[in-house]
Amino acid sequence: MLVKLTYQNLKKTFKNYLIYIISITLAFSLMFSFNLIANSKDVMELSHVMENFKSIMFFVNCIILFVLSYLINYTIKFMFHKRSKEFGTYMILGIEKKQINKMFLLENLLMGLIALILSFFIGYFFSQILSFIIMNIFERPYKVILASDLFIPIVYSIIYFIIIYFIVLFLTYHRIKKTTIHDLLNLEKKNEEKKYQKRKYATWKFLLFLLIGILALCIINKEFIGIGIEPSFSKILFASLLLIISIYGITFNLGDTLINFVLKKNKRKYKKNHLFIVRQFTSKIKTMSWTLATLSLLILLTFLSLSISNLMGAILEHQIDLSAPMDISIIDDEKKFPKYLEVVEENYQIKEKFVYHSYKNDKDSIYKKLSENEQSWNEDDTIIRLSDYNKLMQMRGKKTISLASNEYALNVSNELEQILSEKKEEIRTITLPNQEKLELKNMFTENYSSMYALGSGYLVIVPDEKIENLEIEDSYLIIDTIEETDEELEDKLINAVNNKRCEQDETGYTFCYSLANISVKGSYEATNKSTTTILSFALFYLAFIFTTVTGAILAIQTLNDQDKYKYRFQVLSKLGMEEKEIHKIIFTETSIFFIFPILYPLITSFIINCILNKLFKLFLPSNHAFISIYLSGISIFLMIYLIYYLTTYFGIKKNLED
Amino acid sequence: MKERLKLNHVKKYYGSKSNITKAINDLSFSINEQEFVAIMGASGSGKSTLLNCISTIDKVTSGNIYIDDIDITEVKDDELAMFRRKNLGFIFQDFNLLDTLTIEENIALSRIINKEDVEKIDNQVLEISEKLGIKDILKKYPYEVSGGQKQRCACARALINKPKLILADEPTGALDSKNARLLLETLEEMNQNLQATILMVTHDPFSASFCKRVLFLKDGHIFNEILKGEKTRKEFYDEILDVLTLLGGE
Repeated sequence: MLVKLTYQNLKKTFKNYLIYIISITLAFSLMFSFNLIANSKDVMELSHVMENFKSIMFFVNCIILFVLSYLINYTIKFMFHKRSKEFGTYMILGIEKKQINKMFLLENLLMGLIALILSFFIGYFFSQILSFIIMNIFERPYKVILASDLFIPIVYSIIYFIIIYFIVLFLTYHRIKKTTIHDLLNLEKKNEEKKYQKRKYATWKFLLFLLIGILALCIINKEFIGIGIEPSFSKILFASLLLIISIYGITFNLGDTLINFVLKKNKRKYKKNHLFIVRQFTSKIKTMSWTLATLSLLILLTFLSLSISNLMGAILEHQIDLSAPMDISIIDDEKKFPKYLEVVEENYQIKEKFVYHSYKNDKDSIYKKLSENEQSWNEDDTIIRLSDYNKLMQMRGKKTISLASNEYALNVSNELEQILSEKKEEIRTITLPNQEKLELKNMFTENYSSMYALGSGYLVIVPDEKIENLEIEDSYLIIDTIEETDEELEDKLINAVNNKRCEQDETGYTFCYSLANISVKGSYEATNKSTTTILSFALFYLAFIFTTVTGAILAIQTLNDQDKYKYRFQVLSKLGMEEKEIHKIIFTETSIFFIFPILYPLITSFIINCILNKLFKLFLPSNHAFISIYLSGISIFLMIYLIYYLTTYFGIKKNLED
Repeated sequence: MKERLKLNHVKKYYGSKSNITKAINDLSFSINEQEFVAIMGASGSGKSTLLNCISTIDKVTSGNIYIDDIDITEVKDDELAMFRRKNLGFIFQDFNLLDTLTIEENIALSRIINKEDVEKIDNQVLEISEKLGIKDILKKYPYEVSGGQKQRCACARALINKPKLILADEPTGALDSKNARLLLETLEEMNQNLQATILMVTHDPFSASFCKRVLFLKDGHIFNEILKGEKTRKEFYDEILDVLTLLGGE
């Protein structure tokens, strides 16, 4: 009897909660596929940095366990509320509470199991796509993940499943145990009363929580001053706490604030369908403010994950260009260059090699005109021959420049561009140590070689003949190889020439460093690609699950409120509202309901991105590059979210038309 | 007196050819301006179908229904909603108030849908609620007031548009006897003092006894019709009971 009831209920529930089942199946599938990737030998072998993937994955999985438990617990609680009358009737008919409890838990466990089993197949498929993407990033041939790799991820999935369901079913069991027949029969009413409760001073509280949010952002802004200046952990934690409080406070008070604002003046109130829409919406956010606030928080985390992962990706990509634009570039003693070349020739075919020098200006230097915090450790101007500069630009396929015999040009880093433009008058004429006077022709930012070659943050380019009698600062060896360089070459180069110098400090600690500055594109790329992959995959994984959870909860809420919707729209229709108008209201209402939880996160995450941009703009192609990076990041969220929104909207519309 | 509502050989059939249900079978009658008419009948007699047809929610199979000389069976589908809100007022058994709106807003709702001048709405709501004795509860939500008050709110909502015809579907069905009586007195007042034309469907003889005329429906056509005339309410009530006995005893 019980089994039969369970089976029938399951069949019924399946239809109502299809979107939930699809969502948890998707979530489990993502979990499985990411674990599959993190445990895949082929992926691990891509670079030595990739080994960190597993440990980061473990950390991310812990967060995801928590969030998924939240979704499943929420839905089970929701289902229980919806079916409270049914359970109450069972109890009146004499079925024991224990039996009902067992039946309900069994139902949910079965649903979960279906999702879990499906997730192995779908997840395997996902993992192939992911591994394809990763192999593409590393420019390696794509390999199918073999069945032998499947065992550990399956075990992981099962363990995670058991943990989630143990927690959720335990909570549910105790919740049901505590409810009485009376509670069951009146559960729906209880929730209803919430929506009429008016919060006092809502508008003031709303403003207060808004201020708290602004304060939090100000603290974050103040803490992230510059690269290398560690923000205080406790202050950032405090700011995060304030942000969370602000999200909850705003969500809790928005309903009444809206009522106060829109419905206070009759002109606004009775205009178009304002009254109906505002009342519908506020009654909804009042009954589910906890949920909506939590969803807002999840969305904020999603936006931050997505945009930061995208930002890091862009930074690292640009870093390759900044740090290792040439296949191999070495700054060292010129005598050692033949040795380096030998090592390279052992492994690669050299397409082109080029040696050049930079010269010092430590007399009347631009450097001295910079304020203390704008100066770097170099303490002088770095000068380079025009022909050398043009040759480097040529090698990189970039535009060359020309200078008259009494002119110089300034190649400036993004960091100093603004500062030096302001000092343009002061640096209009410079005098080189050999007494040659030069006029500034122009100033530009162009990434010409390794960033270590940019001296104090700028490079003075002078006509070849003006270099005479200047002291050589550094010697450079640039090599362009036919094949792509790889990770190991850098180690080989460092080891080939004894470049390490070890010193002892006052405490007796010995530390070693490499004297030469060697950048090999392949090595940078491998490290950067691994870091990007780990970071963006982990953050994307989080974001995907958060999005699924948010979308699922909103969709379940809305779709299950359909009976109420139907009743309300029937009344409106009887009162003579046109069908077109009703559809417009449904559209507006569903849209507002879905837009509301993303509004606060959208603004906050954008501001946080602006703050981060302040730090990272030096490493980005331009000052405003972060905007497109931010938008492309969150667009992934918005796309998945849109699917949930459309499913919900058309679901309601169809239900009403039926 | 001008004819407000006129039914002309109205038929409404359900089902397929082999199994036809004649819910309304060749029904003709009319209601004059400022009349208060009840339609009585057992369940299945065609009351609800009739009300649905008059309220333009359902379509007739054949025949014509006129409201002030407009044949509503000819009104186009996309104009029906507008026709309803301009000409008809509704009072339902289960009030059909929106739980998210206050009483005041519920009353204003039909004005808003009618896209009336927003400046005037407040005064109109106040005026009508004063007449129906619900001025004190305007700021409350439906869940905070009694069934009787809810139904009076529904009356106010039906009245505020000054419709040509008010259709009341078992308006006392969900009320206790005291509140039912109060409501019927309200309807009577609406009819007498506010010149409302009311068509009420009911199976309750007590409710029907407040009307000026009662039509008895059986198997889709009019079985009998009685007028109150100069009779007292009690006498009229007894007369209705007599007809009902006849109706049930056949």
